Amino acid sequence: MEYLFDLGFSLEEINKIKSNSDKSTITKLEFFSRLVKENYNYLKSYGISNIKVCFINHIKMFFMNPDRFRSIFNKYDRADLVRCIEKNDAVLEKL
Amino acid sequence: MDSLIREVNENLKTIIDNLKENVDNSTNTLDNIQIQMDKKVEEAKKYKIQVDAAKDRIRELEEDNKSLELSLKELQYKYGKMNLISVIEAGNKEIKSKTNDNIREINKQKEHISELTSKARTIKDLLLNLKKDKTLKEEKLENLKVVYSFYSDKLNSIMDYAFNHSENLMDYKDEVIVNEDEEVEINDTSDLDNTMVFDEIASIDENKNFKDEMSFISDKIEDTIVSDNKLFEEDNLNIDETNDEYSESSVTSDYYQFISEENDNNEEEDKLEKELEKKIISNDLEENSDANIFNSDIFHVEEVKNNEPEIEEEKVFENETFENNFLTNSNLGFENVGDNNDVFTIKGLDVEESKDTEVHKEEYISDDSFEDNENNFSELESNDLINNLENFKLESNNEEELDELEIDDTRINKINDLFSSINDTKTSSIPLDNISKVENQIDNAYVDIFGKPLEESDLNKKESTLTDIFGNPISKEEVSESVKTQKKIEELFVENGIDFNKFKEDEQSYLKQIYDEEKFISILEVLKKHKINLDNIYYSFNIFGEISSFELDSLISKLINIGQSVESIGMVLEKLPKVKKYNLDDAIMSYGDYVNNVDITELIIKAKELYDNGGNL
Repeated sequence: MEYLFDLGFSLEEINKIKSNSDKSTITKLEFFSRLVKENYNYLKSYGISNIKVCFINHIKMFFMNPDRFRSIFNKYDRADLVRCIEKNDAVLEKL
Repeated sequence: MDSLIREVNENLKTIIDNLKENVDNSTNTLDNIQIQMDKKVEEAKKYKIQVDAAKDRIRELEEDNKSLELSLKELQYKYGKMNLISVIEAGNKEIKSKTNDNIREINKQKEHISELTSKARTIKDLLLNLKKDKTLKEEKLENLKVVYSFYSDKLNSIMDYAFNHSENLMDYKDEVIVNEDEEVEINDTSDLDNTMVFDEIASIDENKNFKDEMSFISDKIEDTIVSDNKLFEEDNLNIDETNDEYSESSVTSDYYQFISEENDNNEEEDKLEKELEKKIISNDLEENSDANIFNSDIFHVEEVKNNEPEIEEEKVFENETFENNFLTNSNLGFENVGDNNDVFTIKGLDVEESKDTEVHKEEYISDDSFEDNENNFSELESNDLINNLENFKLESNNEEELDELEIDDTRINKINDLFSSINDTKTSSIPLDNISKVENQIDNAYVDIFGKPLEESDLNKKESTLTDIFGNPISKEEVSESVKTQKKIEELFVENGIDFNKFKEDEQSYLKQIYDEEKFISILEVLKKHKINLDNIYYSFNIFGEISSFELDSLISKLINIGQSVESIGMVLEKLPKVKKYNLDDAIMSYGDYVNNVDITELIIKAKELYDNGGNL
C-alpha cells in the first residue's frame, strides 16, 4: 500500500487504516490502488480539509466505480457539500 | 396571382405565429420553473429558521442542565457536611427529574431538526433537478429565439416583397449582408521578405557608402511611420514619373511600396520598423566574425532574388490604398502630371531629395557584387569555411599540427565538437536545404585536413555493453535484435498513440521479450473495440503477455453487459489476467439481479477468490 504515501498519508495513518480494516478491505486496498487513488484524488479536488479522516473512516466508499463515485458528489452544491463533510464526515455514507 | 400570394403569405404568417407561440410558451415555462424554485427556496429558508430555533432551544436546555448539575453538587457539598441526607435526596430527586425533562425535550428538538433537515434535503434535490431543467429549457429558448428571429425576418421580407411585387416575383434577390467591420488582413508577408533585401545587399556589398545609405533609408522609413504629414513635410520625396531609373531600382521601389503599405496598415508599422532596425543595426559586417551570417544571407539572397518582384514606379501609384490614403489627407494634394491621369506628383516635394536617391541608386546598380552574385558567393564561401572552422573551436589551425594528431579519442572529440557546434550555431536562420550544403562543406574540409572522410564508426567507438534483465551480457547480434524489436513495438504503439518510452525500463524489457506482433495488435484491437482508454496500458502492460486477446475480449464484453463502465474496466485492466471467465460468470451469478449495482472491485475480487479457492489450473 505504498501508494498511500504518495497520497499524503503518514506511516501512522496507514497503520491505523490497516488496524481498522478487515482482511477483505486490505486486499482491495492493495489490489485496486489505481481506482482508489482516482476516487481519492477526485474527492480531494473538492478541497475538503478532513479528506484523510473521510478516507480512514469510510474506506469502502473509495472502492466504488469512479463514475458512480463522482455521480454521488456532483449533484450537490460544492460549497455546501464541503461544509457538511467538514462538519461531520459521516455525511459521506448518507449521500 | 394576388390571391395565391395572399394564401401563401397567410400560411407563412401562421408558421411565424407558431414559432412566436413556442417562444412565449417556453418563456412562460421558464418563468414557472423560476417561481417554483423561489417557492422552494422560501420553504427551505423557513425550515432553516425552525432548525436554528430548535438549536437555540437545545443550547438553552443544555445550559440549564449544566447549571442543575452544579446546583446538585453544591447541594451535596453543603448538606453533606451537615449530614442532612434526606435533604440531599430530595434535592437530588428534584434536580434529576428536571434534568431528565430537559433531556427529553432536547431529544425531541433533535428529532425535529432531523425531520426538517431531511425535508430540506428533499427540497435541495428538487431544486437541483429544477435547475437542470431550467438550464435545458433556457438553451431551448435561446434556440427558439434565434430560429424565430431568423425566420420571421426572412419570411416577412419575402412576404412583403411578394405582396408588393406580385408580377416580379422571380426578380427577388436575397440581401447580402456586407460586414462593414471586416477585419483588414495582414498584408502578404512577401513584403516582409522584401525588407530583408537591405540586409542581404548590405551583407554582400562591403561598400560603406551603401551601408550608410541603408541607414539613411531606415531613418526615412522611421520618419514615415510616425505620420503621413511628417512624410511629406520632412522627407520631401519627389516621385517623378519621368525618372525611369526608379523603376529599375528594387531598393527604392521596395522602399516606396513599403511606405504605401505602412500607411495603409498602422498596426504593422512598428513591427516592421523594429525588424528592419534590428537587422540593419545588428548586421555589422566588419565586427561580426560569425560567418554564418554570410552563409545564411548568401543562400537566402539567391532565393529572394528569384522571387523578388519587379516593382515599377507606376504600380506604386496604381495602388488604390496608396492613392486613397494620400487623397484623404487634407494637407496633401495631388497634381496631375501631363496627360497621364494615372500618375501624380505630391505637392511640396523637394527635388533635391530625389537627386540623393538617384545617387544612391547609381551606387547600388554599379555594385558588382550585386551583379556577379555567383562569383562573390563562391569566394565568400571558401573564406567562410575557414572562419567556420575557427568557430568550431579546433585547438589548432596549423595544418601540420593537425596532421600529427593520431586518430584517437582526442581527435574524435574534436570532430564531435565540430558537428555539435553545427547544432549550436544559429541553424534557425539557415534554410533547411542549405544545412546539408554546410555539412558537405565541413565534410570536405575534414577530408582536406585529415586526408580521409569522416565515418560514423569513428564517432561511436565506445562499445556498449548491454545486459539482459538477468544481468547477462548481451551480444551485439542480440542487441541489434532487441533494438529492432523495440523499434517495431515503438512503431506499433505510436500508431495507437502510445509512447513506448513512458514505460519503465523493466517493463520495456518485458514487452520486448514477449513481443509478438500479431498478439500485440489483437490486444490493442480488443481495447479499441470496447473503447477502453489506451492510456491504461501504461499501468497494465502485463495484458500483452498474461492473457489472450480472446479471453480479454470475453471478460470485457461480460463486464460491459452487466453494466460496468468502460472507465471502471480501464481502471482494473491490469487485474483482468488474474480472472478466469468461468470464475467471473460464477461471481456474476452469485449476485443475481442485483449484479448491475455491484462495483467492479467486488466482482473482480470475488472471481479471484473463486479462482484461488478452486486451486491451480
